[in-house]
Amino acid sequence: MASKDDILIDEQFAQTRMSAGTFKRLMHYILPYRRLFAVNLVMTVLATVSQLLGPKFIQIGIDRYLTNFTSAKAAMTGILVISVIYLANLVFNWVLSAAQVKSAIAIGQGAMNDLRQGVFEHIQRLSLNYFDRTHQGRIISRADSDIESLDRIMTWGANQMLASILTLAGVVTLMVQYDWRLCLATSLVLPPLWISTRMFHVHGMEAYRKLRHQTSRITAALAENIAGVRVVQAFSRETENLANFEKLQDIYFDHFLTAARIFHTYMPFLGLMSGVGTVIILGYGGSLVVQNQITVGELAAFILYLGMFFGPIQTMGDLYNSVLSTAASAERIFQLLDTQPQVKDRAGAQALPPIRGHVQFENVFFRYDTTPENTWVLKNISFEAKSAETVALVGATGSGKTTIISLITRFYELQQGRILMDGIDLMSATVQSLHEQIGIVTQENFLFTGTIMDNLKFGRPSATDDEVIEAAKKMGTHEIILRLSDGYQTKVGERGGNLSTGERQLITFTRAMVSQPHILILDEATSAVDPQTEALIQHALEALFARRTCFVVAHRLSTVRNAHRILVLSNGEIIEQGTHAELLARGGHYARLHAEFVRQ
Amino acid sequence: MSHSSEQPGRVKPRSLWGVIAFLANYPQLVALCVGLLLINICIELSLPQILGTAITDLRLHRLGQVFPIRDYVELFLSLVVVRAGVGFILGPIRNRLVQRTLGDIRAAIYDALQRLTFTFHDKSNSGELISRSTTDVARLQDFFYACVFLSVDIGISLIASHWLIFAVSPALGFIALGTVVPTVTLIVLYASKLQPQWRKVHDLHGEMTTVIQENIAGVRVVKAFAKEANEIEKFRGKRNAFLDTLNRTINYWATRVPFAQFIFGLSTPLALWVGGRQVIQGEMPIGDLAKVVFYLMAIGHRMGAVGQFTNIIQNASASAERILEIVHEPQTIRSGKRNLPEGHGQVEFQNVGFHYTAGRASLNDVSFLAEPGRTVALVGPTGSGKTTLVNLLPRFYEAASGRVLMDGVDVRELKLEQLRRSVSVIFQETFLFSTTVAENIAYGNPQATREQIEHCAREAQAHDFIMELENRYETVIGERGVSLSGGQRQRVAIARAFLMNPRILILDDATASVDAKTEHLIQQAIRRLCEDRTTFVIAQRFSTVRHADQIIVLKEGRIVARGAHKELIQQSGFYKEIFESMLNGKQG
Repeated sequence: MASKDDILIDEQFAQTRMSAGTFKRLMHYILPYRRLFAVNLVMTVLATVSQLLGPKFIQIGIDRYLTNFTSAKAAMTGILVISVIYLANLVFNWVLSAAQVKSAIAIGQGAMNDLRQGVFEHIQRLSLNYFDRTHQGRIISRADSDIESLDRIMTWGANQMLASILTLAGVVTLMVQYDWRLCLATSLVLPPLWISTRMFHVHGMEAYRKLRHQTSRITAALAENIAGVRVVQAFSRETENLANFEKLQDIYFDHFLTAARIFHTYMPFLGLMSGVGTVIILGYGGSLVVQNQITVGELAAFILYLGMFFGPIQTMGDLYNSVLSTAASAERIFQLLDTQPQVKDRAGAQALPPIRGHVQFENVFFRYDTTPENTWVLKNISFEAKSAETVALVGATGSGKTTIISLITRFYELQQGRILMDGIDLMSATVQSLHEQIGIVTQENFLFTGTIMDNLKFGRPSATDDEVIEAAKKMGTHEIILRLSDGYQTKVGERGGNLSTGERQLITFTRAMVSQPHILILDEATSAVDPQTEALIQHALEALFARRTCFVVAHRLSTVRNAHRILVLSNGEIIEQGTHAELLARGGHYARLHAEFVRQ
Repeated sequence: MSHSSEQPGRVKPRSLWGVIAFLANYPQLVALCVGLLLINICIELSLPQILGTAITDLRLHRLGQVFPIRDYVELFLSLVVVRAGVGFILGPIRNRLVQRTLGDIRAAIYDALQRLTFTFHDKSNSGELISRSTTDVARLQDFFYACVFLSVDIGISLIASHWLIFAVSPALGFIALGTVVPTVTLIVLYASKLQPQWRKVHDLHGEMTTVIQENIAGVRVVKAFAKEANEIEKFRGKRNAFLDTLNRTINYWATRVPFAQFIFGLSTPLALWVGGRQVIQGEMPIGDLAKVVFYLMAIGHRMGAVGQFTNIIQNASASAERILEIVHEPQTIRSGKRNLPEGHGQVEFQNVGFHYTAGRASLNDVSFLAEPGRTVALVGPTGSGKTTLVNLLPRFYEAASGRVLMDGVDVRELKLEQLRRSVSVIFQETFLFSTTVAENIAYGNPQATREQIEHCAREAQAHDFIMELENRYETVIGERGVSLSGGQRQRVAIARAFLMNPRILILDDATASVDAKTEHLIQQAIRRLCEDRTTFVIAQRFSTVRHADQIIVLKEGRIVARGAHKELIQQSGFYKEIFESMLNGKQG
């Protein structure tokens, strides 16, 4: 059974070859930093050369001054000179490596931040149809982990690739200059090194992917047991659950050992290869020294250069792997950036003047992206809400109440018919000017991390604290907020959100009030609060309702009784409309619903 | 991504010893690991000796001696093969040890968490608890691998290398010591200075991610208020704060850490010069100088890891502390010793008091008697103590004073498991586990037969909709499967309670937002479940209170009135008020 976590994990481990198009687009983000980029590459070349020179100096020291000197005095001076040169090279390398780190980070993080900002801004432009059909976790991972996974390549890719290739080429060149036969013999370790490194990455990825799945399963089991701890204790399931948890851990343990086995075969193999290389130098090189073909200093330099084979090979293998997973991430990011928003201002769209609240639906047909062809979610909807009227929408789950609301706010584009706001077709108005004038409270009661005050001002950041408190008093939220630990400065949100459902709901009501909407929409807004609180809210809303056009969606019929107009929906059509009294008198669908409601 | 809000850590060695103690369960594995590690260190340290001696011999060979090439190659090769072999065996053993230990720690956390009282869970944040059992355990993993093993390796290697260099030449030994000591000191110093900065970078990254997550989760709110531009600005602010701090931290690193490594780098030219003079003067063979250079290289390889240690140890000690806090949290509610007495569910509260804890109302001097098989309705405003009162019966909370009796026995004397199995609670928020429908119904009794499960589902009006699910009773629900509607979840929960056949039933009759038909089915199911059982209802609707045998009216933790509906409506003004708000608020 695949969960959302599983899909996200598989996504993270996906690998593809990087297409030229993706590469170009990524490079595009480096472009603003091209000067620094060039400087950085030059520094990389210099740093690599300076590193390659180290063993060379030691070789010179050994051969010229330590073994073959003619006068001890000259040798003493010579060894001092070569030590000082070695030291100077060291200083050079130190300065370069510090500068290199700084510039690489500046380029990589700069480019990634530009990309991050671009993705975030694009997400703001996308319409709800995108959010409906795309799982939330996936959108988040585009803007978060997918961009993170570019880090390695964007920051270090060019540097490390250049340094690795130069080091390998440089080492081989220097070795050839000493003795081509010994160089060839020593280089025998390179092919098995490269092959084992590739194998390590390919198998390692797969094993690690499985491990991640099991890790996510363990976390899920833990999280569930914590979330359901009250049920666990109520049913005394502790012992049984612990046994089940241990079973999950055993599977994890097996996966871990498999993943680790790959690592623990690779690492000793590297050690073995380094040993074999040394043995070749010692055996073959030693015999060359005996035959006076090479010097002792050159032999020592070979041993030191052998050590420089391993870093670049490992780095290149690692980079190759990063490029493959980066390509998959980059493609997903660009796919998001290429998604066009469904709802856009039409050419020549005008800002709406202050809304009086006269709303007309004319023969509106609508279906979602996900709705099957040939079926409509709304069929031929026509109705009118006069300014300052309260309109209630009633009907079974899925009858289209919330959809109507979403069209008034133009969260989606309708397929046929039109909606007029004070006589202006919504299509010819800007979305921004519409949204600014509508206040909506849903069952979701979503709050952002921050203080209560921040949240209340969300819709109108320019509101003063006094205005906010005024609104809270009217809603009856003021006392509840004051009861919290830090009053209006209490932090809420994901963590530390110690508000009850009812309290959160009251805050979302107040938030809508603060934004001073011209039209108010309540979508199942009071279904989560207890009757006492609901009565309180009803009372506070009466003042609001009097001056504004309101749309109310409710399951509980008690909430809708006082509406000026009740629309009864069934399967996307309006089957009855009128006042409470009229509809009761008609004895139709509404009257039946009401009778059932009262009977309980 | 959740990043835990942790304090920048002073190292608390005691917590680290607390987790190291978990290794004690596997003494043989520990001994084996250390033994193999020592073998490899010895091989590692002997390789430069061989190379150095070989170089000296090669030099002497030029001066006329025989160079035994074969011996050197054979010796070197065999040592290298043994080293690879030991490494190959050591890896899996070390993993077995560490992973078993981490598994034990994880299980200890899991078990502690599921046994800790409601009081503990009320004041804990579940995200925080999860991060302790995941992120913090992962930090310990780093600690075990890096510190417990690698630090032994590095510590012994460093000391032994120095000793061997001193053996070659005291002057060179002082050069090594004189560069290694300041380098290690500086690296440790910088690492501990950098640690809080990295944590800040990490936190700011977390804040940036939170903005992304919330923006996407709250997209409807953002769009409804037309606040896209503000969100972009908010993100830009967080993003810049992150980038600035990151760059500042990297700059700090870049101007210092390479400098520390540079100091150690001085050792090679110094050794070359000082050792070179000795070689030229014939006081030292050339191979000995080579040995020193090889040892210095080996020390250099290990030096980089020292900085990481500081970070890992600081992180791990904070993590260890958070973990041990859970594992050592005292279990305040202990099981009694008596078996459940015969009886039909008589409940008596005698002068019960309960003090306020976070989010729970207090109770004062509550006394009443509930006869077997009768229904008791609890009414009162939010925060008056209704939920607290019923939670005292299965000992989800412990009464601070007075006694709660079940069929004449104090609940504290009863075996906890038996007590809780005899009381079923239908919580306001129905919690189901992500497993099959059948396993959810049989949650309290996994041995239940399919007939029993189906019988209970029928009683709970759940059988029909279950049969319409894709895999019927074997349908997996929750995160990994089908999501059920609120009404369906509630009926599965009722079936789950049916299967327990409890003496006492506690339920909350708050209406979920379900349509009238489902509501009717749920009410029917509950009515059947209540038959012949002592029932406590936290009442929200007037039909419930009207049919209750006894109504207890609570206000600020005290019983202000008690009796049947007809009496109370005459006698208690407070009750009348509540009853009217039930009438007007919800029901027509």
